[in-house]
Amino acid sequence: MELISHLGIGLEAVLTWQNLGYCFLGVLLGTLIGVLPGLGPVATIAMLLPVTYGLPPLSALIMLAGIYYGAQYGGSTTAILVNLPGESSSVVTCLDGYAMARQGRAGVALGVAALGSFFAGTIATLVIAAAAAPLAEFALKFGPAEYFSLMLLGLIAAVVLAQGDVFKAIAMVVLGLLLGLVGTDVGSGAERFTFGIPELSDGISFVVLSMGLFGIAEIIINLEQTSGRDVFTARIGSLLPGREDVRRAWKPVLRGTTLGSILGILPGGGAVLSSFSAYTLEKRLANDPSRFGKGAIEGVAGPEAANNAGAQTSFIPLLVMGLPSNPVMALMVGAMMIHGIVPGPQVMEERPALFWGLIVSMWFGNLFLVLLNMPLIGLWVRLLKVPYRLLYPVILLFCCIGVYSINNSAFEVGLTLFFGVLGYLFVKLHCEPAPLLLGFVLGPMMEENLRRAMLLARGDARVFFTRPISLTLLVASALLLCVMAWPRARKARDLAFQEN
Amino acid sequence: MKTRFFLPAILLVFGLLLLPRAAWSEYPEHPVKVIVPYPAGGIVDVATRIVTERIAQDWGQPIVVENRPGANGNIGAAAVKNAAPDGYTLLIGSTFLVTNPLLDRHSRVGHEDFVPIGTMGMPPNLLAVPAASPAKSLQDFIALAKSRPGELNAPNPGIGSSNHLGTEAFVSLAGIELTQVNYKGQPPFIPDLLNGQIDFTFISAALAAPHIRSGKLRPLAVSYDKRLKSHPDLPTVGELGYPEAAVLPWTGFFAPARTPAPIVHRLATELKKALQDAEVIRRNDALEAVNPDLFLEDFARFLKSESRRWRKVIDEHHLQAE
Repeated sequence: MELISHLGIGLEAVLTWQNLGYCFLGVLLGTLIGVLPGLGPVATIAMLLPVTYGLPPLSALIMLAGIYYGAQYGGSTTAILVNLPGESSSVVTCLDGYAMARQGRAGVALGVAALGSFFAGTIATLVIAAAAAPLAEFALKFGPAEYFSLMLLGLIAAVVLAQGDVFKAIAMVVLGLLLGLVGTDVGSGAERFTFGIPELSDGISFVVLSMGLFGIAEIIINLEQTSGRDVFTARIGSLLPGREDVRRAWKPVLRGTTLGSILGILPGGGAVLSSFSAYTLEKRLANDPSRFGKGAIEGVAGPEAANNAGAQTSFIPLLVMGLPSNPVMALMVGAMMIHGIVPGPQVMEERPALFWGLIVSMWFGNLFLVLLNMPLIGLWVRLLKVPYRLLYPVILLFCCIGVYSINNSAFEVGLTLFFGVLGYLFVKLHCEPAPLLLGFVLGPMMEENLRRAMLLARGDARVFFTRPISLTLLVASALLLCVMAWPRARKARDLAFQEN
Repeated sequence: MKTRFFLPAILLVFGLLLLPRAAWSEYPEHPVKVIVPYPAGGIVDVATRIVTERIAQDWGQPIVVENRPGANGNIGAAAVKNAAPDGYTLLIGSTFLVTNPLLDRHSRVGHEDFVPIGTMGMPPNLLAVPAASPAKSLQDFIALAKSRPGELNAPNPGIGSSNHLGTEAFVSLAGIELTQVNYKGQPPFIPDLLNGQIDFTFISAALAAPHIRSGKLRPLAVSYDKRLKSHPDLPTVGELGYPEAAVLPWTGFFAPARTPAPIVHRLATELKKALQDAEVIRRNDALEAVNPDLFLEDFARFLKSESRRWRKVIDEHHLQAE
């Protein structure tokens, strides 16, 4: 068994006090920065890069990787407790997680998120160990045409995220697409919608937008309803998921793990798409989709499992091909290069202890995270008892520090506040920000890949239908559109029967 | 009561700061900030940290590397341009300092805003094709491209990047026509290069190395005037008859204009010393980095010649941004 001998090499490398210690330190740091709104893994790893200079390469990489997936755990904590998505992948956790917290079920939501993430992390670690090389080959098959079709599927799924009016949801997706266009056009180098402001020439950052629309807007809303907040802090409810919760959650966790493991491999939007599409899937499969957005546990379990699985498998393109799939992975490339290791296919053969050690460390990291986070749930929940007049200035402060730390730019802090006010208006107009965010993330990638695919095919649009993966994704998009129309058709039919 | 002591104390401190400091040998008295106008973890960031770690150890004074990416280097450069010219804020500048003002008339920063200190190691570009390509040599590839004008694709990872300018220079020298496909940086085009949708590229040697070793990428030439230590049998573009296609993404340390000469000279000396350190050389070799070894006046002359060179190419090919 090759797999077992590989895992053996990894275990041998990891099971030293030093490496386990750095693993724990990494996930602890990750949890902390994940919980602090806005302070993301990118800024943290960038700050810690010089520190890792003096460490052995394996210890350094174990710690940095731990910060990354630890932040995924921590990010869902703030999403659930105070409606603040620290990472793009925890945006959907806000939808039902925060609703659960308002019902006094914050502990249950946190527990399901932690246990689901642990399960997903364990499975994804095994997936990396068993199938990293063939999966990386699969990711290579994704050219511009395939990416365009995948993004199209994602955008159609975005409409399903909405709770209310479909037209408002479409309007929000389109607004997201427009916001995503701000910045320098990749094709011509021309600046679009930047008003001559240099800070806008690379576009609006995701954290700025999501922090404003979700976090700041939520604070304004809460300050408006002074009495409502106390009701929600008074009832805490049980801290751990009960039997009924587990019964509802285990299938979404399995499905989320599968989706996340697959989508996480794709460079680019993989990690974001995984949690969004897991949510869409659960909402479609549910007997009563109307519970979603109002505290459905499936809406926390599925996406949380998916984003953690995706976070693990996003290491595959890096470790096997040397290709970073997101900004954190780009930093990992930097960390490896600082130690004179050029990430790529040869790392597996030339430095097996490093390669397998890093993979095995991820399982230990996930174990530490669950051991660390389960006892912390009680503490987090008690945090909600802190009077809001004391809590919100702290949240606001951390948001500003977090946004500033991304590019050291005061302009972006101002921009976040602007989007906060905009987000408040959206709430007043009953427009939901989640579809906007998905449009914002996917739109620019979709445009870029559409133009690239058309250029490579010299203007022949048939390229989207002749490439098998692209065709499959387009067929799936068409099916999803039909399924979306279906409940309406069924309702109409039911009405017709009643009248008979 | 306390203010009576504080106020004069504060005035004294500010007064001392305003005094012309004769003892420049005291520099650096506090941490020095080096602004890298590229994201953390990128090649420029790594190459910078290799050198700054060494200098900081020599000084016993920390050097803080701050990443200020955006607007193709202009945001970081503008921050240093507006910083006090006291040697405590430095810029890592690259080809963009020369090409941005040429590409964009509205650009507010250029190499004239800075005093050049010296260059550091950077990986040069390689001219490469996917392993499945029939071209085994640069001559093969030129013949192939001539037989299929405009049909072959080359990536453009950024307008004004060394890869872009190198490709433009090479295409016009070799008399071939390639279709340029735009990407955001180099890593995103690697999958399309390996799966054969891209036929030819100028790619950083650091990024190409693992794919050359795994046999998925075939290097044809080095875009530099010397051969690489790691590929001694790979010819340079000059040896193959295209010396103008040697486009190094040169990178170096800059101080804001009007930084006192003694500090600039001190920095150049420290940089020179750090670059000779065995550990720095080892790390630079792992990055496949080369260094034209230009300091102070030599570096300034080089910047002027680069500016003339690219003005010509950019005008000929109408590369200005709208």
